[in-house]
Amino acid sequence: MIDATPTTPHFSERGIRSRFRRDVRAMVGLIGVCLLVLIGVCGPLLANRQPILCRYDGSWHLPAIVDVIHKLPFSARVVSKSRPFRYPQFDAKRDLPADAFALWPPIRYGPRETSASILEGPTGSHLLGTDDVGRDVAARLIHATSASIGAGLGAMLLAALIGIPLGGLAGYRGGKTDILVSRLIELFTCFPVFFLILAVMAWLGPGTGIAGLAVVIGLVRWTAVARYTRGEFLHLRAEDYVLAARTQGAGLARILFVHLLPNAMGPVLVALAFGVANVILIEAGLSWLGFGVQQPDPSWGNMLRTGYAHLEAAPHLIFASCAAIFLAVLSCNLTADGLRNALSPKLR
Amino acid sequence: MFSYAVKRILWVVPTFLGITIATFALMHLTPGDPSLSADGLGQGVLSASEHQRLSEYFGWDRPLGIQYVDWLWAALRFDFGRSFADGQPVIAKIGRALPATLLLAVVALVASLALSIPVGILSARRRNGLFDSATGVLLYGLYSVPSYVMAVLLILVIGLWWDALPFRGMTSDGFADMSPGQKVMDVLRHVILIAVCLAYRPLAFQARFIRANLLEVTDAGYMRTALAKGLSPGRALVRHGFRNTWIPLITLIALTLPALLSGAVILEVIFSWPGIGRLLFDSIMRRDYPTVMGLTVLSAVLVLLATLLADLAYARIDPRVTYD
Amino acid sequence: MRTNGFATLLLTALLAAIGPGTAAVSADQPPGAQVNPASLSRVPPADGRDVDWDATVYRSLQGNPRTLSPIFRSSLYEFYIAELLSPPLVVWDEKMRWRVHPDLVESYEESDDHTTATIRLRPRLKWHDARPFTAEDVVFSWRAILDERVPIRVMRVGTDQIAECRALDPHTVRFTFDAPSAVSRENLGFSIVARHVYEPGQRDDPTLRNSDYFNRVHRNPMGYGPYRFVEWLDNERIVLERWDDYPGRRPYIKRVVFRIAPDANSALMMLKKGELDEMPLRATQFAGASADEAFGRAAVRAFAPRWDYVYIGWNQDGSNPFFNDVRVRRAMTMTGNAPLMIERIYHNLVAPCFGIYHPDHWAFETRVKRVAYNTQQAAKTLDEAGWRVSDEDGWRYKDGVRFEFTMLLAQGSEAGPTVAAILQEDLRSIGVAMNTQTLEWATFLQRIRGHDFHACVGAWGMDPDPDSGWNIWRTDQYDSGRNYVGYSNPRVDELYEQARFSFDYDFRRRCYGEIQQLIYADQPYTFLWHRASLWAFSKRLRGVRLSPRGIGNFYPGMLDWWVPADAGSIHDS
Repeated sequence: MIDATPTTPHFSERGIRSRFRRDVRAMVGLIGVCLLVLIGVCGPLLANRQPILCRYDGSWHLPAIVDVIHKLPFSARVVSKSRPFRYPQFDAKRDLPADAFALWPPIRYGPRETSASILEGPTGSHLLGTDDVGRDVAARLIHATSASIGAGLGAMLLAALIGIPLGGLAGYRGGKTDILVSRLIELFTCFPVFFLILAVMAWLGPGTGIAGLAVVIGLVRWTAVARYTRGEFLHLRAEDYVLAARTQGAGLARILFVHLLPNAMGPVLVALAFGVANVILIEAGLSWLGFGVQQPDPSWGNMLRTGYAHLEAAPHLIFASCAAIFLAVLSCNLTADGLRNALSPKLR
Repeated sequence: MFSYAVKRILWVVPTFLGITIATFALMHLTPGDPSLSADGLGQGVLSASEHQRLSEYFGWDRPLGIQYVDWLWAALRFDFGRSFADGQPVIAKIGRALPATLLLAVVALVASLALSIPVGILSARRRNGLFDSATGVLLYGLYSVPSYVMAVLLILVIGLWWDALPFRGMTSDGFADMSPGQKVMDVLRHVILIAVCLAYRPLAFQARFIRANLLEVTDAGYMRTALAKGLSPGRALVRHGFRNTWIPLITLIALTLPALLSGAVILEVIFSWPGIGRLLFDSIMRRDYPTVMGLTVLSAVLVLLATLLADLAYARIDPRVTYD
Repeated sequence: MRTNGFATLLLTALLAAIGPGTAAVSADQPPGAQVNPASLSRVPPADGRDVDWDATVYRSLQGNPRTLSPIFRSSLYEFYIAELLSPPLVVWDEKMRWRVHPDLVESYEESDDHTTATIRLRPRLKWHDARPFTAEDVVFSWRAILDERVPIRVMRVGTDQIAECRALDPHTVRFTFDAPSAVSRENLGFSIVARHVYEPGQRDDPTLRNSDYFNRVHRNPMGYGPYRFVEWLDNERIVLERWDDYPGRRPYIKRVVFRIAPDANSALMMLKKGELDEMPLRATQFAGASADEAFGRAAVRAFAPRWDYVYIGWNQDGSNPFFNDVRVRRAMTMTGNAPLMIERIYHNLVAPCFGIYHPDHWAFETRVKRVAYNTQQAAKTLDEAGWRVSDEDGWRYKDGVRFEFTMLLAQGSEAGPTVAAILQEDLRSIGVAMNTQTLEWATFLQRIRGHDFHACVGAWGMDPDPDSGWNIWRTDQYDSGRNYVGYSNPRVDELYEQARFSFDYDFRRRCYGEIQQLIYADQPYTFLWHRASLWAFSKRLRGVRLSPRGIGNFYPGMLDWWVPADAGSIHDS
């Protein structure tokens, strides 16, 4: 992380916001992050084997939109596709009448559809070429976005859930608590991460590739968040309003989360934003080594791995995934950096 | 201060035990054992009875607690056992892998410092000037390129297309017959690509770090005095500013060194670099428990030492830090 | 390269397949398109006149060996080296026929009741340290391999079928077998170590492994074969040199350097630069080489059928509601689009298979009819088996259970992901849901051995004698052997038993043929294809033949390789 600049919290929220808006790089980063989230969420509208909107058998259907909804867990029980689009046997490209109205996504392939010849360079029908199984690289790249962004956000959520209370407690209480938490942080720093991943992947079973990865990375990365929170709380605990709250008999949780956390939130957010970039890096790195998201689920890392296996025959595989990883990491870093600069404008 | 130091040092012991216990437990709870690992033909053909015999032999069917205590007792006497893979002492295996990693770490660190210090000073001299903005954007971009992505691109372009530099291993064939000068050149050629991959992100980080710290001291009183005395801004920065930046820089290096020394697993795997990271990866794949434990101890000791030193240094600087 | 009918057929198909797609099929084919050129397998003139007797050959290893100890060896790479340093007494030839090693064994006799075998060693055999190689060494090695205190992984399998091993005189060994069996004599190929080296260390370290003494011994292996050990640099190279005191046939190549090159990309580049003389090719590399001029300048390609098979195993031990039913398994096979998988993974270099034997194998039964790819038929079969498509969501159900299973894949498997991706799509189209789970090797094996899976993709190499299927297909091998899918057919059990203890070739052939038919009819696996050895050799190499096991593990193997004296080469200049 480029987090070298010491941060001094600046309490005028409006000032922070306007400084952030004026920072071109930060805005570019933020737009990038928003785009990534959008692509991650709306992947099925961009690359899908079924149309977004179509008329079939006298009624209107929205199969790709249902695919978007189905990204929410358990939503399949509430909403399901209309017939015949919910049938696995139904192939919209083959079975839809040619004259039926259909609004197709820009890329008419699903991420797992093995439709074309293998290792094909970019062509008109496959904008970024095909991979070693004959799947459309662009479709996989789009659908991999949700894996990376999901892993990033999920892992940092977990990291925040563990790191903020622990780090906060250590910073506020000091003494023995601080020592214990600091040792715990050291302990996690020395852990061979691969074993954690092997174990979690083996225990969690199928279909949990991304979730499992997010859990592992969250379990490893909470230490950074904890360290930041601890530092901030250490500074803030001597502030008057904290002392006031304490003399009024406020409970520990109240002091930590109501009085201290909002004031420490800025730097912690910066840590989390840098964290997301780091998780994307780690996820792709693990998938590269073969331990992250597993085929046939797409991820930027495992696409890079496939590309490396066919380095000479099909370099186009490498470039697509490299660019995606780079842009995602860059956007997160720019946003985080801009946020930090907005919080402590002194050093621009 | 003294009692703080004693307490802080004593706390290293339980942390160390915690690290080893956690690694040990996790390692043994992970499915698969050494007889099932992948290394070519003959894997997975062992009958159940043969498998049982090997388990008894290596003792991985005994209760975990007992295995751990045995390991710990031996480790306290600096006996880390023998590798399950080939029966060699773990110490010897680590000793053979360490020089490669050490070389890589030193080259990467020296290279990154040699570039980051001048870049940091130059960009701090004219804040938001052309050089500052240009390097800022460039370093920012570099920092966002994952090292393995860089590795693959370098291998593709420099290694395969241009065929300019080797990208596998540490020495060429016939290394033994080379003259000392040729040997040095050969190793240097091999180290370039992997060292670049390891160095450019710290380089970006350090350059920005130095710039930020220099900017902070520019506003300090002694700098204004120096400028008032008629020193050129550049000389003032180098003479007075940089002097106050190198202490945090040393701390930063001390804290990144353990990570460098415990090996860059992904890079060492990609470049077949015969170092610690590669050894760890292979040992985990082979479920070579004694070697993994030995490497864990090594990285734990490095991290603990580094944080201990950093903590003690801070306690010396900031007298308010105490253990009540 | 000698080829039989089937291989020739495959080769024609192969040339037809890669020719038009990549380059014109005619005289102006780029040089890289050469497959199995006659020059590669050419034998040297009898007087050895044209042979470069000082040649160095650079071979490739895909991984760093764990050990070079002949008795502890377990991986393919370790076998490649061991067969040059300390070849076994009995070997396979390039057609996978059993024979004694002609350089080591003077005579071989079996008693009439086939319970004992007597080997007479050639008299002038020596260890590389000039001490005589005797029957005592053989006996010592047999004892060491079976010693409970020695943690040997692979070498015990088979060797433990020898009940007794005795030295009758310094040059004669007698082996006794528990029961007379046609495969007993194959077990005589265990590794032999020097008694005068191992025995002194044995007193202090009965494990033969956990001491500095044996670490040294295993890193500097001493043998009695045509090559002696020179050096081993971890993850870099292993060097062997011709041993000129070898009493047997003198090999043509003087030095063998094994370069350890796990990454196929860099290995291919080394080959093109002339830094490697041979390497296995991936199918993409093999196909891509036909248009690659740099490849064509440096190397030629070799193609040979391999005696192994890739399969999808269906767990039928009753732990899941799907695959107990042979109809379901047949439907799965009908859904597996083997031709498409072969096209995607193997660029049409191999052909779909007919069960457990390769068509070249003597036990192959020609009457086996392959279950063809036909998803409509598969859907019909599933209907008959009671798995019916639900009107509600289009998936198949039986007794309220949805047909949804998980396919287990091993990480790093070449074929696994593609097989799964193609099968998944086809299964979907008939209303069967397949998930995949990819596990790292050790975890994968643990799950498979524990029968804790629905389906998996795997591959078995075949031993030359079909008896090797014993521990895969017999019912009693469910707990201790390799019968991971829980296959059970009493007739197959009985046939394996009868064939093992018979010495009548025709009877055995009938038994094993029937086994193949029965197993194929039961479809415990979906048999996909036999893989092929795809290799690249540098242009200067001659005398190269591939066996159904590939480049090594047969006699004479590398001993036939030679380099012509006039072959200009950057290595030797």
